[in-house]
Amino acid sequence: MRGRFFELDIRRLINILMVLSVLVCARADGAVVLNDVTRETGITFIHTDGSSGRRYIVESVTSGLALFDYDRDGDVDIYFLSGAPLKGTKYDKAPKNALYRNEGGWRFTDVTDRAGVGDTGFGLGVVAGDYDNDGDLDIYVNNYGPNVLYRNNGDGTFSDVTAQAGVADGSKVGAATLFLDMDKDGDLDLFVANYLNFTYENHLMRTSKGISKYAGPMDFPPMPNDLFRNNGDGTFTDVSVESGVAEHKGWGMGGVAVDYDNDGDTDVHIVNDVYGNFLFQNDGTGKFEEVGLIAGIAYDLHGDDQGSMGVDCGDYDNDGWLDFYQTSYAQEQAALYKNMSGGMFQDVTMLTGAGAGTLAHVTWGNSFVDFDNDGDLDIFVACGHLQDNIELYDDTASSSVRNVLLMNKGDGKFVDVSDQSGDGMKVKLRSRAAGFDDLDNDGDVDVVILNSRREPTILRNDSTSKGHWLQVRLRGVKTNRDGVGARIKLTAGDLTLTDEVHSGRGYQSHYGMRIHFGLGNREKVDRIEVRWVGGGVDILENIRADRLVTITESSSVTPGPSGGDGR
Amino acid sequence: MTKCRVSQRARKKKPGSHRTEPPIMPTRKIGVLLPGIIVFAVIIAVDMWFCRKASASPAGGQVSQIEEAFATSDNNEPYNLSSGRNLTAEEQDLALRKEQLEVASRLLADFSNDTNAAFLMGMAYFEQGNVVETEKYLQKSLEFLPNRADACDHLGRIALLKGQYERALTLFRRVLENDPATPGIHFRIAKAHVFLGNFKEAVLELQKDIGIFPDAGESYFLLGETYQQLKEYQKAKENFEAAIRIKPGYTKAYYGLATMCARLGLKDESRQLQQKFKQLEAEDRKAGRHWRQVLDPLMVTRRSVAHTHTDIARVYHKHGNSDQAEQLWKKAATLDPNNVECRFHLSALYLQNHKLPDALKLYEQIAGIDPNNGVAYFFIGNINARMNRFEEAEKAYRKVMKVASKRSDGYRALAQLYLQNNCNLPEAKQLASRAVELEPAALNYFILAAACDKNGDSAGALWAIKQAIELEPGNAQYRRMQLLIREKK
Repeated sequence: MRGRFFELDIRRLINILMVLSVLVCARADGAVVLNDVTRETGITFIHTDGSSGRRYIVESVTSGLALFDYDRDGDVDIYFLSGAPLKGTKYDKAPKNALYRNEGGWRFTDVTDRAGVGDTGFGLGVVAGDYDNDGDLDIYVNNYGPNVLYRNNGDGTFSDVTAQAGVADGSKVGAATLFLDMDKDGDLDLFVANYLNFTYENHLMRTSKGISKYAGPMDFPPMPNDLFRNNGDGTFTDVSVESGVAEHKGWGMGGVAVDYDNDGDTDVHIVNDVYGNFLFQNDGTGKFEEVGLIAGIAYDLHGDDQGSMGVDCGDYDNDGWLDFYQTSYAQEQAALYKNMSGGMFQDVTMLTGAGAGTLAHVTWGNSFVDFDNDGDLDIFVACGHLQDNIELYDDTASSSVRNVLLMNKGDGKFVDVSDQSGDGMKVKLRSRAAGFDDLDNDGDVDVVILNSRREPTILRNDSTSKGHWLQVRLRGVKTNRDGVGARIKLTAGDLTLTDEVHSGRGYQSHYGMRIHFGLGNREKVDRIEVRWVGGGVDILENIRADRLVTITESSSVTPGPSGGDGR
Repeated sequence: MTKCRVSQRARKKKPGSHRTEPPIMPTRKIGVLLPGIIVFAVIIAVDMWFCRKASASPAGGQVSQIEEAFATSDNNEPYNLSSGRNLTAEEQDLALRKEQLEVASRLLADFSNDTNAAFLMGMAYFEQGNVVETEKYLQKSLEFLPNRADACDHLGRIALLKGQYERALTLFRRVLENDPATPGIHFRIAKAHVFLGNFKEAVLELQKDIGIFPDAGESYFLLGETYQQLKEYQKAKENFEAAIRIKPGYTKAYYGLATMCARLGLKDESRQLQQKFKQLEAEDRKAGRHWRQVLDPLMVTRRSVAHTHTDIARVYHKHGNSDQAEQLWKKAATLDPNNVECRFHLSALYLQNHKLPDALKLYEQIAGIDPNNGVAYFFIGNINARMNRFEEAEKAYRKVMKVASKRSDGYRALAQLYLQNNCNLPEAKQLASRAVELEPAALNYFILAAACDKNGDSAGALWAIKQAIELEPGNAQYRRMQLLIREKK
């Protein structure tokens, strides 16, 4: 009897082990695997929205983040924005934005105070760009309240040069902010989106079924956006009116500057919350015409103005034209707009399945990223309800939810693989901004997510795919230093990929200035063509895969060693 | 057990905005109730013909109980501002929501095995945004009545809201099996197909829906969108145009049409349509018609609770508890000044109980809410006729003829009125003839026979009564009339 009992015990143990092994394998059986490594990074930032229970609308839309190499040491650092105390809120210590330096090996150090970028304003949008063309990336923060321009001193510190530059932009509720060379004169101009006209005096709360909730944007007047032309001497001039941008009032949120019509100049796409989205077409000289409706991108397929939040662009179908992906409010699918060329877009969300998993959620930060390096762009969507108490009056929704990962099947369609893409996709928080970059320089793109009122989520890409890749960093000489606005076309065998360098994108954020291309099983790149904004075209040929290449304008390639360390 | 048909009402179309709440279901026009009401009206009409002198109370001088009822102030009703309680809108909202659940719970406690009670409990939770409890009680109602189509329908709609399209499709198909006449079911199946990317299947379903409801602008609109997905731009254009023909201010259809014109290379037309779209959109926003604008959440709650009370009252009435039904319908009418349905039910109850002034007051309210409601004017005419108020009755029947010109009821009723009062006899004959043209039904022939008889046209009278008898051979009254006419002749 005793021996039989022991035998049964072994069998039970084996069964348990078998089940466990299946479970372990089942944790990540997809091609894309994103694992949550937040705890090991040393990042202690906790976001605040400045809330006190009075439900000021600005609380619900904070904040963006920036991924950029502030110290030019070859790895990507992180800058988190935070809200600030609002009327009626008290803090012992004022919350501030936080800069974390990437030390390598998934360790980050808080260098906020040393760098001098701990702005205590109510952070909403952020962008990084070398506005003074001195070789390092500066930061512009778009606040509720006066904005801030930090000039990078090149020694790990920044200086607040807002007043000198003339870009405080009053005291508005900010949103996305973008650097672009609108007039092709070689320096970066500044586009500042504004959300709405909110003051404590016009504040109101709404209710649903007797439960208090945040008011909506339609309860506040819309605002025009602002455009500042870089004078080339460290100062900017407000050209909002003469450029035509100020003519249009909306409820601006996310945005991206991109040459959507392939005519060699940078246009601006701003998504509006509860209003038709804006597409500002550049005539090449910095004069813009709003063509969103005509282009078919102002409204979704149904003719509805969506509660648009963030937007990014990428060529999801590899046809050489950059498409847009816009996130949105709950009960609206995030929308994929295919660039049909000829200045026209079509909402292909349903055709492609690119809205899968997003209907029930409020969606925010997003991007096209080739997570598995198979040569086509997948989509990541950060989710989290705007209303922190939604469950009290609508339990078809939840305030804290998982994010969504859509894999590009390669045939122009997407499939929701959130369930099988690692423990990082199981995190349930109220996500807002998301940034995408190769944080560990291992040849795949990782994810940083800012969560409202909580710690961020850092996702390491541990995808099982062995696809080849190439990363491209641009160095402008006659044009702006980081090649912002430059168009890159890469050909590898039968694969042609197109991308552009952007400064500011997604949900009021900045990331991805180092362009990542997944190549699938192609071991080399036949040709890279770079078209510089306001400059010429550079062509490079025969580049080995799996490296970072730095392409200098009108100069030669500087390839890094294979394996991903492109320094 | 007869299932409880939950009435449906218009909501803003789109769900989920932090600015609006999820839409529930499209308005079920009172016309769906029309056949039942007309049958009831027929009974009244026949009653009127054979009781030449009205048995109702004389006009005027009788205090309307409904006026008294509306003036009553219940200290426990927080929404009654005349009570002097100083509740905020939010407190009122919460109190009403609580009441909504309490009333539904009471019904369920009173009739614990009643599928309707379970269904309405589920719907009350749905109104609260508690989908978990909604599904639980809808499932319970299905346990009592497995082929209950409306429960499956609502479960399907919830599945759509959650993005569970396959499940929604399964549920909607079940609805179709159990009750193919469910309004809009093909439309919802099509919607699920569209979300799943099954565009060709969606087209077939929408065509079926349009076959049943040829004036369904939304179906044409969705068909336009579906053809757009299939890249059949010309067909998409035609359907957007159809949607606009049905509903000239259909803002989104203009957008769809503008987009299709652009796709088809009709650039100038596209631009013009885009301008029209922008103009309509601006007007919608200004008028508060934008689907995200909820300007008065308390009113939304009041309408919702009124709706629940109306449906629950019907269950009580069906179980013979008219007092409770009356109380709930009265409450509903107080909560929602625009709720036509509760007023119809209440007025029907008053008619049954011969409370003519009260019933009349309610029908007049309905006509005030919906000036094109032919049924309301019909009953106004009937009641005024019974109360010997000839001019008021005549006016009401003329209104029926105007707003429901393609129906025979108004013509017939006015003909009857003239015949009953022995006036305008030639016109009565013309009206009766028109009624027969519009609808060659037995009752219309019957009235025509009477009109011909009164006008000395025996041959016409005999012919008409013969048609009536052929249509309803078992009707003893028709045969009696035939005898009378023959005797006269």
